[in-house]
Amino acid sequence: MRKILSLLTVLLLVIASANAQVRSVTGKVTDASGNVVPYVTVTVKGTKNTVAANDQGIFTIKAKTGDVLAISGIGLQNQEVKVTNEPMLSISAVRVVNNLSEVVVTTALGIQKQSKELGYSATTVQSKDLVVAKPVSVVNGLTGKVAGLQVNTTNNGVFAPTRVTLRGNRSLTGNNQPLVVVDGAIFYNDISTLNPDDINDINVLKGASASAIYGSDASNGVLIITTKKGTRGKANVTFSSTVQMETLSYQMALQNQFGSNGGEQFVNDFTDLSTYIPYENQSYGPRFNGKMVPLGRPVADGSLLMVPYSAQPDEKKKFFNTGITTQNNLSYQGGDDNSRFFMSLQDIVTKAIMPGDMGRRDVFRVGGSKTYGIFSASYSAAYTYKHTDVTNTGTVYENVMNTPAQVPLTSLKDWRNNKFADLNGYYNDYFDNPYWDIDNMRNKTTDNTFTGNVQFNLKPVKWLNLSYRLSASDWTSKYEYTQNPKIYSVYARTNSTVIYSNPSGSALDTVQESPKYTASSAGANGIAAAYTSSEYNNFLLSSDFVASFDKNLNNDFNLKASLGTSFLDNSISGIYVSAPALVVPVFNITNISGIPSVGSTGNNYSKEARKLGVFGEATVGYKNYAFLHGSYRGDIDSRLSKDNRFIPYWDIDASFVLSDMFPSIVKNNFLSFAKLRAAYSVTGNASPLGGGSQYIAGGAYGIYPTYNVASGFPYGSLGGYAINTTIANPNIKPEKVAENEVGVELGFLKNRFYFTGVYFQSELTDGIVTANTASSTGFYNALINAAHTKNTGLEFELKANVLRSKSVNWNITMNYTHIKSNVVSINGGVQSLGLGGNNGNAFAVVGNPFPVIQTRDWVRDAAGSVIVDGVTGNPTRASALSVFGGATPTDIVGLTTSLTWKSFVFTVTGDYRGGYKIFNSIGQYSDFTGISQTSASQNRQRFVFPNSVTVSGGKSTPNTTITTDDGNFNFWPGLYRSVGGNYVTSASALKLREVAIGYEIPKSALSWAKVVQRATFTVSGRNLLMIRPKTNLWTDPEFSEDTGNGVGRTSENQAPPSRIFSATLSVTF
Amino acid sequence: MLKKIRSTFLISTSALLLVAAGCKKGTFDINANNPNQPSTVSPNLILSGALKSAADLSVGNPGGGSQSGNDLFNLYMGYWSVSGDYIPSSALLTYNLTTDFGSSIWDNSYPTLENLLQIDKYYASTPVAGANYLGISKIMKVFLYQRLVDIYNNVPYSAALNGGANNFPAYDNATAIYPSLVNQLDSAVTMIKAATAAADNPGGYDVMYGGSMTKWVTFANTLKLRILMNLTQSSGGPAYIQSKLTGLTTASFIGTGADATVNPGYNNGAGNQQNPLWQEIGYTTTLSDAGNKPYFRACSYAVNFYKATSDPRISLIYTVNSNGVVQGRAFGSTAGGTEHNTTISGIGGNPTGATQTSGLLKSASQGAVILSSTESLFLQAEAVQRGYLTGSAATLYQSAVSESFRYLGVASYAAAATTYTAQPGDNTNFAGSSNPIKTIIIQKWAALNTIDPLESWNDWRRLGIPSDLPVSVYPGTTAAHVPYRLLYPTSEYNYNTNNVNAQGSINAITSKIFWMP
Repeated sequence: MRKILSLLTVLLLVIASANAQVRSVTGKVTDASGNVVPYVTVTVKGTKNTVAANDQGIFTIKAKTGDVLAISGIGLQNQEVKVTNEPMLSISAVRVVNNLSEVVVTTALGIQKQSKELGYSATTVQSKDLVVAKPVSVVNGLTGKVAGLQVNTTNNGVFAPTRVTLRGNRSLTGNNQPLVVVDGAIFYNDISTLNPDDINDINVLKGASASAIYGSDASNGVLIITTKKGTRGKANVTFSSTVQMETLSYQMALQNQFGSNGGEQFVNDFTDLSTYIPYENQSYGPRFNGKMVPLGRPVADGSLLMVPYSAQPDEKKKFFNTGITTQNNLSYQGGDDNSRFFMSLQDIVTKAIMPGDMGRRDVFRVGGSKTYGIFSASYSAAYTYKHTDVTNTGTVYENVMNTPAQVPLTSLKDWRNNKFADLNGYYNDYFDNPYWDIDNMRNKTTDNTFTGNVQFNLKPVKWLNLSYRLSASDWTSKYEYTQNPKIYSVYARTNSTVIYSNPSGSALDTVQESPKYTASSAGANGIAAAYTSSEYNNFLLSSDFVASFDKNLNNDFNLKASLGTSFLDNSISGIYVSAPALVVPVFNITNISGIPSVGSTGNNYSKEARKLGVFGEATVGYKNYAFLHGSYRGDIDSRLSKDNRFIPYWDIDASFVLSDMFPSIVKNNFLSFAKLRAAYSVTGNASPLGGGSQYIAGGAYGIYPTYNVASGFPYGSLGGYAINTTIANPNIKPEKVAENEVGVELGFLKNRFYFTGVYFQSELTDGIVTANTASSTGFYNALINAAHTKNTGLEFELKANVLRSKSVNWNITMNYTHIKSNVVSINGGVQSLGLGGNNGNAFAVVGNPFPVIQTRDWVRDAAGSVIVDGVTGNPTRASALSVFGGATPTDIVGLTTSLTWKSFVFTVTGDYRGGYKIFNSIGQYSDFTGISQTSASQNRQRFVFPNSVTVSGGKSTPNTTITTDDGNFNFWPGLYRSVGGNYVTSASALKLREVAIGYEIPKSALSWAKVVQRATFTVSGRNLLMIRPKTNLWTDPEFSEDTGNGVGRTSENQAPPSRIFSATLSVTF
Repeated sequence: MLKKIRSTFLISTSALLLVAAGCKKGTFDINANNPNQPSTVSPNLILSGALKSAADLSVGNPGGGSQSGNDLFNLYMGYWSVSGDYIPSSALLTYNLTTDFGSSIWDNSYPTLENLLQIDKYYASTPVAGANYLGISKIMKVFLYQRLVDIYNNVPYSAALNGGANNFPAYDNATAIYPSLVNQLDSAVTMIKAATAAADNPGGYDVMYGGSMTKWVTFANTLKLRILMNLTQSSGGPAYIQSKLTGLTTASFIGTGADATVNPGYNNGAGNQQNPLWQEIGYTTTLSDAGNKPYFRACSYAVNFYKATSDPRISLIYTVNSNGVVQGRAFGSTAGGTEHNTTISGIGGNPTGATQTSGLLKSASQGAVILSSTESLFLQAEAVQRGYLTGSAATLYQSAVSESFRYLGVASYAAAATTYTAQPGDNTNFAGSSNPIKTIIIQKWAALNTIDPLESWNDWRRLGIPSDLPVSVYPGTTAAHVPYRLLYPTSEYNYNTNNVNAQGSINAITSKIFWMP
């Protein structure tokens, strides 16, 4: 290693000494507000003498006093400046208003480039577009705004989790989420710990070509986030305050016709009220008729809760609160010629729609820079405190949604004082009062995140920049679960009296049965208090050195190049202790009852991995209209064995600005800009070693054999071990991703319409999979390099400045992405691979997109009709799994429009995702309990199974007469529910993501407050509307059981979707 | 300028050094040694783990759920029925077996075998030191493979357990596996007997016999007898049995009071430290019903048998209902209100979860029976009756019944057993039996209730005893008898597709194990 480094140093030295200074005119280009305008083209008028300014806006050109310099650049008005005797010419460039082509983008390693130089896809999203609807998490602000980018909010609730992918999935079991880089440093924290208001811009590098320089972590693209560092000019303070209201927007389709019965008595006469079971949670009982019936068993004082036997359809909606979130932001920024400063504070307090669920986030940030001659330094540091306090949100939701329709749930809120609501008197024999759960089962998570980075730059000569950056981030998450004991009274445990309605509902019958708590899973004396405590730490240290060159080789050729090294050290540790039962409900492990926890209830680990990259990249520009760029990086990755540790990555791409090469094509003023580009790259990654973890330490120690403590051990002092059930494979190589990309960019009508079109293809080979093996091998899994997948896609982006006048300015941005993925092979003859995670229905299947949803279907004939038994009329569940379709969208359309009229700004973002499926396991559960609309779709009567046939002698005959042998309890919760295919529906959805109206309060109205520079008032809404196909009766198809690769299934353990309305007042002093 | 260049050099060099500072030799070798899990462990720790896991397979429900291993056999053999308080599983009740039924047996057996193989690898170059360990490992492998063959017939054997090198193991013919198992037992016995003082002894890590190698020899011999007796009805079987029993006498086998049990130190402190049977159908650590306790109930077939023979074991195997009697339910019954759990007896004989001295379920810390003395004595009785061994079949029969009474805790068990077998009728009375083999097997069936239902299933498949073993009464059941085997598990069809398909189409109801007549 040292050899390579010293070689690099020698190289730097050689290049440095080869330089010779010339007499010249130096100038600096800034815009009206004092910001640097980099990369402008400067030509001495009437000559071929042309140079480009650097990223600091500084240029040097050979010229005499009195010469005229022509200044041009994308997004700038052409202008001419006379050379004076001043040592440093100050040139104020005028930006062309509403020019839609991007001027400068921050590419890999923080190197800024002109958009036209790029041979690959990069889209920049500016601060103001991110925070339009005041999202709590940055990624929610990106949704719908970038072609190829898919953001899934996988659940609802406090600080909802998200999954981000660029151009689909590549790795079957590895990480598919893009690398996040903040201020040049790889960011390993939860992205929701960033304050969206601190962000200056996010540059989305979609393809591997753009990111090859980051090596293995970047094969899924990169989100380059640059935080605010202050601007030149008068210092100002901005304060903004937002109030958000969140309401339940969609709930699953429910039936409101039938009350409780869980198979205790066979219901065939739906008017017989004696088959209504007052303590049951399943809803397979008689039809509602409005008569008074008992709910639950009689309580200790002998009283009995009587309720009308009729549906209370609003109870479930009423259970949820209106969520309230307040956001307060305070920021200060300022700067002069040599320094910039920014500091901010954000405080978010959120109360979710689930009663009692709350969260708080505070983000503090400082950033700035200072220049001393050839030396400059910049820094950025942030601390985030994030706390959530929630109940077992999923199980409470499940409990609420499956409450029989006749139950006046919200009247049973006061479990402390209402005898019918407490643990002993609550009607349900199988579930406790969800209000009790909310108050007594709490999950508290506290995240403390610190990130800081310092960068030093040295510019010994104008064409050379040396920079060194050191960054560290430390993320600690502490989790605590507390559950109060459930103590049941002697009466509740022993009472065997149950009171039923008589058949007509005119009187009551008293019956002796088993007491409530001997039949349920609750212990004889109740359930003891439980406690879990865990702590997780993720530490990342990164250290980068980059030398960049920017030199005009002669009048025609320009060389921009960088060389550098990058070192990454990541450690993750965690400890988890759990006491399933406490002697006294004081929440500390020392109060455990019985033997201290072992095995599955206690755990700790520590992992560390390192990487060193050495890289170089170069762009050669010819006449500022043709650019050839290449990059190479070699990584040394500690996770792999010595022989496989060195991993090369490279990219080559080219860009041709046709409109500059052939100026005649833009003469007609219709076409104003044209660029063609192409890129090819090879990258790789070893992320499957970490089971999809985005952090390198997650995959540490993955390739060598280990033993685990055998199940149940230790028994006292007797130990027992068993070999790991995954076959270790020290020969694992990194998986490879080869990507091709061609693109075209066209500007029309002075770039008021700007079109980008991209075709890409990426192919993964040597994919690392933990393939299932037959257990007869002695193991369950084997780690192998075997998977082969292909993605192809199209991306279109159109930015249009539709209307432009003094008072009106209307912009529309549209993007469209089409992605096709295909699993070419998995492992030899293996056709199907479970993708793990929580979702047991997500698979990679050869010849299909991935992931696909696989589950059981009905047995069907060749024509696809469901075959029913000629006698019972019942269909049969197929014995093998069937593929039901891809679980990621093939088509995504995003649309953002913003209209400025006088002091008003009106913004709308919407998107459509289609061409994929979702498994609604929430539907499966609600058919079990019988609260679902589906389970009542045949009026609980025997019915002819729709589109069914009977088969005899291999011949299908349409079935129009034979009914199923049951249409109630013996059909829906059993046979029908067992067929997963009944719950797979189209996941297509059209969503109105953001709507915002902003109003800038006129200065005249603020004249009384002289210090106020600017004040705006904004109202906005998020997730206002979702249009789904009628077949999706359940929930938001964007949800997923976790943020892993196993997308495509929603469950009853997820919170319901909601709408958010906000109002923001922002004042700058 | 020169100054500038020099400072450039200095600064860039120091920056590079800073980056490279961490990169000493070994900087990237940090992932070879896992700080969280050991990469090697000594064989005693593997042995304790493997024996415990064999016990889970032998008496527990390794995969959980209600369609697993021993549960199925208990249901098929008329011991257990399912509760009427749950939604019926028609697949279970109509024998419409899927490849998921019992798959946990297969999926847990092979990894256990793989662990035993690690012991062999550890001692590969030091067989003298490993004599005891290698012997035990061989015996336990035979124990697990016999179960697999008896359940699945042909199974991967010679090509199995070689993951990494061969991820698609071919199947061996069951007819070839059986003799190999017998030979393995012979060589294990030879190895143990030849062990010198230099041989390592597992001591307490041998959670079956505490390192008593003579007991392992007895166990090996009994296992061999069990394997051989399965061959009584197959062609060439009797001659082969006879030849392989040469040199063995009734003293060579597990005798009275010497049940082979595994007990690593089961206790009630944590759910996963309880005896596996207790964990499955007993009680939780807080004395609530274990997960499957309310689900599995007494089967009326066995209940009626015990009642007809005034068997004192009835209330030790089952619990009495609220009326103070044992009542069963037909397997597949759809009767509603009259067959609640309050009416139908549960399994285990222990109604409270408190520690006691009698019953199938005595406490969470009871040992897990691997091979009971009862079973050994019944095997010997049959072998003597068939003339393969010398001795008194009647005496062995009486001891076998008496041992069952003892295990279940019948008061004055020997006397009670004598009274019991003195009752007239072929089901109890050996001396007066018109069919002594039937009497032995019927009583073996009565004794192995819940303790070794697989062996009872073996006997029924081999001899058709009990001859009136009922089939499910669930509507739509078409099978004429209970299944003959299980289907190969889903994991084989998914991940070892070609090899399992080479076994042809398998019918769980009618496809036979090779030793079946």
